[in-house]
Amino acid sequence: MKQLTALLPLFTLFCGILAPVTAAELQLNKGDHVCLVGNALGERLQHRNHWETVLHQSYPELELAVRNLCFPGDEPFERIRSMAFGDPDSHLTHSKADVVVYFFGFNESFNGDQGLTEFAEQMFKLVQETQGKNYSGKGNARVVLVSPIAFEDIGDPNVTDGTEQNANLAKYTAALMKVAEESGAAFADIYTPTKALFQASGAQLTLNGAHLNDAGYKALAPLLMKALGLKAKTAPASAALKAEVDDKNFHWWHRYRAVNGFSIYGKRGLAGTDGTYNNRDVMERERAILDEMTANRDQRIWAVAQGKSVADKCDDSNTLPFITVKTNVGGANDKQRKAGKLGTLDYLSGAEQQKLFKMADGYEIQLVASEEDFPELANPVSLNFDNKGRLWVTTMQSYPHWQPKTEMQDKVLILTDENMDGRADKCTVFADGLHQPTGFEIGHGGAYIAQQPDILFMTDTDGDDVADTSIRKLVGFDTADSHHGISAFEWGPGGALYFNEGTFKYSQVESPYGLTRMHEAGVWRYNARTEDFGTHVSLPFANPWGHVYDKWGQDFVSDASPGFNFWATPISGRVEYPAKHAGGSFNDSVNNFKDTALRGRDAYPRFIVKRTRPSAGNELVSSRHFKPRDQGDFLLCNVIGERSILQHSVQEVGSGFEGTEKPPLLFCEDGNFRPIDIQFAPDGTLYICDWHNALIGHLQHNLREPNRDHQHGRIWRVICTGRDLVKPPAIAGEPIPAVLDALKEYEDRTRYRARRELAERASDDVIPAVQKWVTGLDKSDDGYTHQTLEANWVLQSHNAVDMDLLTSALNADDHHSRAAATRILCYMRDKVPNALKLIHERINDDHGLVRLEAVRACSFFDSEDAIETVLDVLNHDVDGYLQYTLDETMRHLENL
Amino acid sequence: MSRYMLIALVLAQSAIAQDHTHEHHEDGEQKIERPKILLDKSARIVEYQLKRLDNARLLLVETATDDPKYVPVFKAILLRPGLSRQNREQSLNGLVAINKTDTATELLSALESLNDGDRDQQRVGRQLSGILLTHSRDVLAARTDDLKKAMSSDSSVLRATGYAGLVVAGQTAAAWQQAESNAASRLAYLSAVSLVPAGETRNALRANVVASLDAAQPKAVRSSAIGALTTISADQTDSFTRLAEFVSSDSLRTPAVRSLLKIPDAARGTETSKQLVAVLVKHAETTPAAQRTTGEFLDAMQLADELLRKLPAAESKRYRQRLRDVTVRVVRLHTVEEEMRYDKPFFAVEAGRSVQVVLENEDLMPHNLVITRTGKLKEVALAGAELGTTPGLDGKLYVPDSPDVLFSTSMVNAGKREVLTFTAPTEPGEYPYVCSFPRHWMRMYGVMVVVPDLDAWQRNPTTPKDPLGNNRAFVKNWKQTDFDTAKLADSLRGRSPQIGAKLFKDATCLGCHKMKNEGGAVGPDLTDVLKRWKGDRYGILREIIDPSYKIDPKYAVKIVIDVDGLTTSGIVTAEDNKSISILVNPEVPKPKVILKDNIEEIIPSTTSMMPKALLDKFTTDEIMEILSYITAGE
Repeated sequence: MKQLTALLPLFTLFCGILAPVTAAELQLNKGDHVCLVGNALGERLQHRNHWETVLHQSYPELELAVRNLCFPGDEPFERIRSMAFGDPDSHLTHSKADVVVYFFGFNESFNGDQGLTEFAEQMFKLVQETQGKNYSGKGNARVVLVSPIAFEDIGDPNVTDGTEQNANLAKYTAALMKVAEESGAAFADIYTPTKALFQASGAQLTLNGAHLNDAGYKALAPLLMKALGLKAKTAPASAALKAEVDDKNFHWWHRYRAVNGFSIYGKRGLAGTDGTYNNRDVMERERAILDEMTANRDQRIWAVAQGKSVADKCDDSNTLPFITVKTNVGGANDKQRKAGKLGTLDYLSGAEQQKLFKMADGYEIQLVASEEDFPELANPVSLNFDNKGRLWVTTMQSYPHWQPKTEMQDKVLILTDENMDGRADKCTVFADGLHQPTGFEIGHGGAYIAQQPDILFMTDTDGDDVADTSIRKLVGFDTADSHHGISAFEWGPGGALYFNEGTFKYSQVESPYGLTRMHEAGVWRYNARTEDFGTHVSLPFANPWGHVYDKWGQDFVSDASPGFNFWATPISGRVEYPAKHAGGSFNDSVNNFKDTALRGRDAYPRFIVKRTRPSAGNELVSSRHFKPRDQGDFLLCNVIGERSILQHSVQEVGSGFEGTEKPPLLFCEDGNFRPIDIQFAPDGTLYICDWHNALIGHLQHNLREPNRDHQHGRIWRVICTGRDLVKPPAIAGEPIPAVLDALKEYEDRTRYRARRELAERASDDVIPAVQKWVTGLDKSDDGYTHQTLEANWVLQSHNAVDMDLLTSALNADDHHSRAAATRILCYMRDKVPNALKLIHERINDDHGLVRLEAVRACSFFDSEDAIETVLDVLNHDVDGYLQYTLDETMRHLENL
Repeated sequence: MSRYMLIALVLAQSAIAQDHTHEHHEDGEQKIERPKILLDKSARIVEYQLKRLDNARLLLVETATDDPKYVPVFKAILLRPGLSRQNREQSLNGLVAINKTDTATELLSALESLNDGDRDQQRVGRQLSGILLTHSRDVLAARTDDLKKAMSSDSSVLRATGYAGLVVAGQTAAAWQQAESNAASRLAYLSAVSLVPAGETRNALRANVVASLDAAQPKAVRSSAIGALTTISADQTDSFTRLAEFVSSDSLRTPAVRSLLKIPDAARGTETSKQLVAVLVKHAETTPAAQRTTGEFLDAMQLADELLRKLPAAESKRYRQRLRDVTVRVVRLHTVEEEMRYDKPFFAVEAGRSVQVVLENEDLMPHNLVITRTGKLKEVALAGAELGTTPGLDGKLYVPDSPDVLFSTSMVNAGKREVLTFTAPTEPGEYPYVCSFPRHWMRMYGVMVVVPDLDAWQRNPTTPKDPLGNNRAFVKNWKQTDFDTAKLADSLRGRSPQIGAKLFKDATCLGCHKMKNEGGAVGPDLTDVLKRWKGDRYGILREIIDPSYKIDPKYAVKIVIDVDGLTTSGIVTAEDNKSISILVNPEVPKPKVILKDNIEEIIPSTTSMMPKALLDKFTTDEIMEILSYITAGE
């Protein structure tokens, strides 16, 4: 540390101009284990294996074993992980690291000049510590520092052009170089060559300016070799060799980033015992097998690189055997059976099951699809309708965890009903070979599909309804538990994508604007237009699996395990990691507030009194096909306690909402009925995704419990006897004015799909069309205020604001519009002059809901002015919801 | 990040006492910014902002007496639980200056604003009431109208203050006349009794309290009168007889037992005691087993136990046998708030018999109870302190794993209790008990006397030997007002430095304070205390009598909670960017060093580490000897 203090003054001299590299060069020896550690730049290398292929191709005789230990968002000394994941040293020891390649500097660079010294100090400390370790038993580790890449200006006005980021990245690169010089580490500057590369390249080489795409990684491969001081073979990369590297890294990935970590090395590793083996025994064996399979593939890589021939398939006969688990289902001591939670292992046919539904008066149930018709429909978990009105479903046949040596077979299906009889007659596999797609959403010309730790974006470019491109759009979510998300995908009315995550998870997601961390559950918010990423609700939920927006943009979150339902506005003000909002099932263990007023799971109230649990998806009734008395009701899937669709009326009370339970819409006497997701179809019927499983869950049995079902799945729909179906307007591919007119429709889901359609059209077409559409609206129409709000939302989804339109919504007679417009104002604040002044006016609004939105909005502004503004709400009536929102906003602002 | 902010915050607390500010700079401690309070906004907004500040930050808010906008700040400090009397008096003066009123007016108005349902606020209210009632008879007499108005206030502590104020103002009859008008007024009067300064003024109320015991009065009134009667020092023999009658009453037994427990042994008449024992034993036999662990029942059994010693041995034995048939003998031991002692200097148990000792911690800090082998008090206490934060015997903090420890509780937090059930040693003797929390052992100890025949012993109890050789008797619970500032100089004349030095040691001062290079370093070095206090001997005396009146921040106890949840409490002796050195135990002069990375939180304590009542076993002369010794100068 003394050495470093001496060189610190030098850092102040860095102004982005790089001196020639004088750091030591990387020395590679035969048999070296090369471990990559650091952020998403390094993490994504194992999915785009161009560089590693070139490395083996250039140095076949060295027989290098490369292991990728990167995590998106990792910083030198801040790398959040789920319980008992293991510290960096334990993983480097496991991988017998001879060479440690560090990828740091991107996330840290957002701290600018202020963070530069601390970054340099930390890197110096990290390098020294690493150099002092002998992980391989063959000698002290050799360290390489790889600089961040430059930021690419992707020419999208909605996304940062990276000028500021590049200024910082240059300084952080220079700091890394100094650290390397001082510490004797090798150094690779890839900032300078990638900056030149981006300027010279005609094609876009990053996904978002900050993270390389496939072409970017291909272009990086030789640059990284050169920067490392390695000689790259000039011959084109061998496709055969790359296939071997892909296969090796696939197996390594599933070992290192194993889903269900909390049920392996974490606390629930001790659960699921069959009398002899618990989850940890069984799953650590599988991880050991994956280690062996990875090592087998190292051998093949070396052979192929050395020009030797290899067998068609990798021989894995040398691996340890799997542990076979005995069942704990159905015996005399089956606690679940005693509690009435276990279904029946004698699965009923769809027709038999249908007879066991008990429906609310006037409603009936129909079978849309079952595994009997479509074997692909095994373990369906989420559903959605595309803009053509077709049903999409994700399936998780492999739940709870893919087993090594088997094919990955989890899917996204499109089920079509061409003869319109309510029964699906065709099943198309949009995507196959997935792992645990716990949720998905359609939009932007493709589908966002959860596959922890990633969210994939897949598109079908040739119109055959089969995806042919796939990118890892968002990465860095935790894998601690496959049944704790990522789930409940929902477009917000303003065009941001929201999705939930459950407890145990410690996630780090990078964006062009910086890093977002969230631990122990919450709702995420992603703006694909601007690439802005962050948290929407950070609250210690247990496992939130439902999220829905009402007609006026108010949203509600359902937490599955406790069966709790929350109005989301007061808990969606800004908080910064590690802070979370007060409340939720794990408030005391996660937040551990000293202030007793913030403690307990009642610190934030539920808007419905819970009667039975656990729950899953939720939905609001907005369908003219359903009875008038049920409109606006809040529906909730109950998967164990009652196996029903619970129904609640919703009233506005004070500044917030209160739900009152009504008799359930339906329940099913078949114990295997597990309604996990619901959504209204374009024709106004309600679709139910039935997971259909005798066993209730994750924790109650071993992950490899033999009676876990991998075959069954049902889709049901509820129709209202004697009432006409809704005739939905055509949306997909329709002219923009026609799609805009769909925003006048009654059904929330019709408008939802219309907004989703408009969001994928060109902004240059949509924005003027919206302005024109608004001038043609009938001001005397009852729906005029809402139509104006919809117009604002469409503009927001195109990252645009029309001040006249927004002002009209902000000043509408209907307080719902004023509240919703306040939230738009909050998100679009950088584009609105005097935004905080406008918020201040809403602080003094006559209606509590509007004041509450304004109080929430203040948490997104800089502290001093916002504090002055928000406190004025105390000059008005302040009820419980408002007081909570004020307290939470103040807690955040005071800590800035 | 937040943990560093907390540290900064704690350090900032040091800045409160402005006369020490320069010292902090020398220590390298940092100041934090004053909280920004928008004083020009509406009162509701200002109050909300102030409410969000912790005590340390609240005291940093800017104040001045030239603008009414500071009123909410002074009010907030005046009413904030956990602050010192000095803080309250300063705020009171601020309010008086801004409002151009007087302290009585401000106190009456502050008392009015207190929430009846909030225990903390009620506690603050009694403190404020205490300040008001120290005003002279004439000052209070001039406020007769206000006090009368207060008597019908909605705030219960203000109502009581009204009655007490009128009494102090000399209008005892007027107060009683109002009290007689209805039950609510009488209740207020009765709760005023303990607010009235003890002695003659309070004793003068006795007849009215006794009258309130009358069967014609509602239950709540009688219950309150039962409580008030034991706060009156006059005629306690009569009080004992009167209160005894209520033990047969199912509805008033609990308050009566609690009051009877407070009446000294000498005032407990033999005949009444006999009758009471009969009633209490019957009560024990008819109480269902499930209810024999409640606090009320344990109180009743403790009273029975104490009264048995008034009976002839044979009779006492018979009753004791009957009690043994239904319940284990219970000994209740309380801690005394802010005095660092147990309420009993000794208790007796019968050799080889089961007994339950209930430790009720009524102090504001945690204590435990460790019963040791004869002669091992100090060894056990030192070994316990030596453990620091490492858990000791059975994971209990400060309890060493040693054969000298016979029985022990864990640390019992403020307001909590723990029951220790054990079989007494078969070997009769004097077994010391002690609180093994660092530094407490010097004062906080007693003796469990193990006797072959409890009834025989209780008939003729002998005071055990003090296990630390300290044979002083209780003199008085001294208060600052017992000393007259005008006469102080006179009282200090003719004192002897040799006697002073010896008493300084006897009173355990030397354990924590240095005097001429000898002594501990827990508290300030007293060698040049007179110079530092600019000759203010009365102020120095106050520091001894009422240590929490004002705490030198350098010597305020800080409680450090580390990331594993372990706590270390003591005086911070040094601090740098990486670590904090904390003196846990004066017997172990090497401070414990805690890395800041491992610190979760540092909580400043609002009470001094120096116990109150250190001089309660010393006479006026002896106190003056000590004061003279430490203020003799060079």
